[in-house]
Amino acid sequence: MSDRVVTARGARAMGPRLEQRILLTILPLVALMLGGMGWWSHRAVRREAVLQEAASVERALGEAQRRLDGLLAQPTSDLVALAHSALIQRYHFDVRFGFNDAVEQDAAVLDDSFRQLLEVSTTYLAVAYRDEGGGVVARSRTGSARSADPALAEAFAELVARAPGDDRAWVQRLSARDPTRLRFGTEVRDDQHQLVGKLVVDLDLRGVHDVLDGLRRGPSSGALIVGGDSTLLAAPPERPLGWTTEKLRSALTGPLAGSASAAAPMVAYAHDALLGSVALGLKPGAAVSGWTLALVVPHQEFLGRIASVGRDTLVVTLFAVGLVSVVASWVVVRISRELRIATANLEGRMEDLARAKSDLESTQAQLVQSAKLAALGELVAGVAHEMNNPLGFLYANVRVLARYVHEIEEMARRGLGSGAEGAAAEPPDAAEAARARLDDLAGKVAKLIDGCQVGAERTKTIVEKLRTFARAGEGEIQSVDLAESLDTAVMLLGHRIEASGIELHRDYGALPRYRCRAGALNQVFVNLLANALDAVGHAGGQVWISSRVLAESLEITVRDSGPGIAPEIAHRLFEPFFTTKGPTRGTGLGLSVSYGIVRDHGGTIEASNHPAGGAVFVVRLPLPPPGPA
Amino acid sequence: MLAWRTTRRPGAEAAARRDWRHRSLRAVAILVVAALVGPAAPPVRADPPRVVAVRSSELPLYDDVIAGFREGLGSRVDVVTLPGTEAEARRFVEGLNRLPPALFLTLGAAATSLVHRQVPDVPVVYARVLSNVEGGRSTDDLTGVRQLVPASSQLRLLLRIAPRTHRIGVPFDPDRSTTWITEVERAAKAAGVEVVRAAASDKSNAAEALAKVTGGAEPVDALWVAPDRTWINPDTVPLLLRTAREKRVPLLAHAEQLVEEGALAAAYVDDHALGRSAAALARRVLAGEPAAQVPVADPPASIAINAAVAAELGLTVPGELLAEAAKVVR
Repeated sequence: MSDRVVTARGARAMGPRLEQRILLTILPLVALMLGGMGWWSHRAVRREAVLQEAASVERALGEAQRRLDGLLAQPTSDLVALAHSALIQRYHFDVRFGFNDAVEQDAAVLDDSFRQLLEVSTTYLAVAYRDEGGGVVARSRTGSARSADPALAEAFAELVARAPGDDRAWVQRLSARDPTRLRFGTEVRDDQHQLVGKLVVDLDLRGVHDVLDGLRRGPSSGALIVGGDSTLLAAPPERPLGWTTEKLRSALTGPLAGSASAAAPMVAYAHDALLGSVALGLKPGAAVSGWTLALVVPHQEFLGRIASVGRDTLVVTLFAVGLVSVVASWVVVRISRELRIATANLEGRMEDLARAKSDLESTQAQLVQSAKLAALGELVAGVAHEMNNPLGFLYANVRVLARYVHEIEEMARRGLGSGAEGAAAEPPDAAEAARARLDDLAGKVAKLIDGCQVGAERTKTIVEKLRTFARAGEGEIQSVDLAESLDTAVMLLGHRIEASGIELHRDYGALPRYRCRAGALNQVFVNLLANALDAVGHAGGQVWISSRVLAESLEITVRDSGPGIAPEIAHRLFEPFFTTKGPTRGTGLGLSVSYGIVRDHGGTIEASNHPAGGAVFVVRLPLPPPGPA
Repeated sequence: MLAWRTTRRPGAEAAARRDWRHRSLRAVAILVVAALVGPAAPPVRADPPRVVAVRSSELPLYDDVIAGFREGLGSRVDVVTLPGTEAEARRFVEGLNRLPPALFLTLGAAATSLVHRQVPDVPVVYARVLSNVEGGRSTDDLTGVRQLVPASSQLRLLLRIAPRTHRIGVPFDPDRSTTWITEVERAAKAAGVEVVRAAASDKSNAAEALAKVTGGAEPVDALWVAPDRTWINPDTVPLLLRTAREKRVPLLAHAEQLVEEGALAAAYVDDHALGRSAAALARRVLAGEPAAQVPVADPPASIAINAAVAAELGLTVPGELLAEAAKVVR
């Protein structure tokens, strides 16, 4: 593993900066997003400002309405209670029956109750009751209707002079200049719903000023109160922005009225382009008193207020967005830098890993080759053993043949020397004997040459088989007779079989020719047979080699009578470098390589213990064999 | 602009109140001078004696009495109203004493009592006084017209419509109508009718008292309700009417309003006629007859009959009575 570690400084020095690329990509998008968000924020904030303003107005109007209702609630309650009181009813009864003395007593009691009202609350300026016959009971802070002061009597007469309408409470403004002086009246009816009188109270609602002042939304805005009959009940000294009470009430209650928003459902509003102002008011029904509480704001002021809120919020929003963007950019830069460092380190580690893998593969190839060499070494003895006989036979024949050839040469030399002069000198028996010998030698030489040819043929055969084994790594696919391959394996290990006295049983069945990497499968068969021989290891042991053809595969089984496979190592049999043979006898690659070869052929190899004892290795090869790789 | 309607700072309240008191006093003085001094200016020729009507309050019914009084007297009558507060009343009486008229017409108990006690030596003719002033007799300077039609007249009215009436139940308040029940019993005795008292001093006892006289072994033939507030009030009047209807007995009342609501009949006082009766007494006093010699007069009676109720009760109202009646409810 490499010890190369990329640091931040090193990362900065590496190539085009990643964060620059990211920022160059992101910054235009961020700018675009900021622009979009700004535009969207402006719209949203403006809309929200309108909603907030409407909700604010509704809250303010609602609160003002509650305060006004509170200001009116007590007088209303008092008057209604009086209108339905036994005192009034008794008064009316006595008037009706002409009990004038009783009426005067009733009037005194009523007058006293009015006095108590005036004493209890400073809101009351005067209270009066007039029966339908014209009798008046009235009291103000300056006197009662029974006063001899004609001016006061006139005032009380005016107090109760209002023509009766219906039995609902009515309110009128007492002074054009002072909105806090209100007259509130209600009618008194008997149990037959006949009008019998009117109760009136004059009120000093100074609190209205505070309420109206609290409603103002700007220097030019104004709040006002419009009665049910469009009477202007209360208003600031300056008439607000040209809205007449009729127009205002019509605008807020008529078909042009709109709801400001769902957030402020009780607020109705109207905008008059000519007047240049906006009127906002509670919708009818929101007010207990039946008044319309309205707020008139100059249009530009209304919009300016919203725009101001919108601007402030927009600035804050953009600042927040900008801040978030800066922070996000910084985070991106940090992350990209860390990512780049990590990537560089990872690339370095990947290079190290690739190198290690290459080394490992090389080592593995060497080990595989070692395994093959080990197997080859295993086989060399067998090969030598196989070749020893024909070579020895050949060697012996050649030596005899050489002696015969030498003898034939001597005979020929002698014959050539006496041919002209020596033939006559040779006795005829000797010549006959020589010819007989020569014929004998010729026959022996021919046999010897035949023997040599047989030895050479056997050697050639062994060499051919050895060449086949040696081609194991070439990977050439060819059609082979697997029975022959199994026999080759047996032949190659035949010396060990003979040496150990192990009994070998072969039952190949009718194996078809099979397209495969023959050398590779030979190695598998040699490995399995060698393992079986190693497992048996002694005379009397047995090894079975069998094969059979199934529907979609052919099966080659190598079984031995050895001790079998220990359960604790069963799952490790095909692991590379796993061996039970000790460091001097096995590489631990035989079964692993065999597993890979069979898998490359699309087959499987399984190991198990036979019920009768010993190990069983089953190689299954697919039928038909897979196409050329 | 009236002061009590103008804007005033709290700090100015006291000053304004003093200012108004001063103005009120001045207004009272002007009123009295206008009412008394003005008419008393040196006459060019012999003017009729000055008469001032003092009403207890500004009740419209007093206006009817005054109108009848003026009509009967045939001369000018100045009208003043009794002030409500004691201080104003005191100043009012001072003004009356300073320039006393020849005669007072007092309307209502309050005005009659005050003027009779506070303005001596001026004869008083009273009207619209339900209580029995001075035991119902005239004194040196006091006479007047009773408020109620005499009991005998009322009983006579009942007997003309329901002649078989022998026992009559009389709901009354013993604290308020002692004189009246005495008069009723006297009139009944004279007519041979038995009076069964249904006394209740409080309206909460009214139902029980009424049940006693209308139930039992000898129920009454008719009811005659006393003109007092214990029985004539918003709670008891419906009880009376309902009881009369359920027991099928006629109800005699003192007010035409009760006849309208279901009573059989009433002999009541018409305010305009009342004023004319008072004027007759005033003329005698103004002519020099001592008030003590001018007896308190009974008022002229007007008759109201509910013909529908009479029919329900199986009573026949004589035709001449219907013609005589001022109001017939059908």
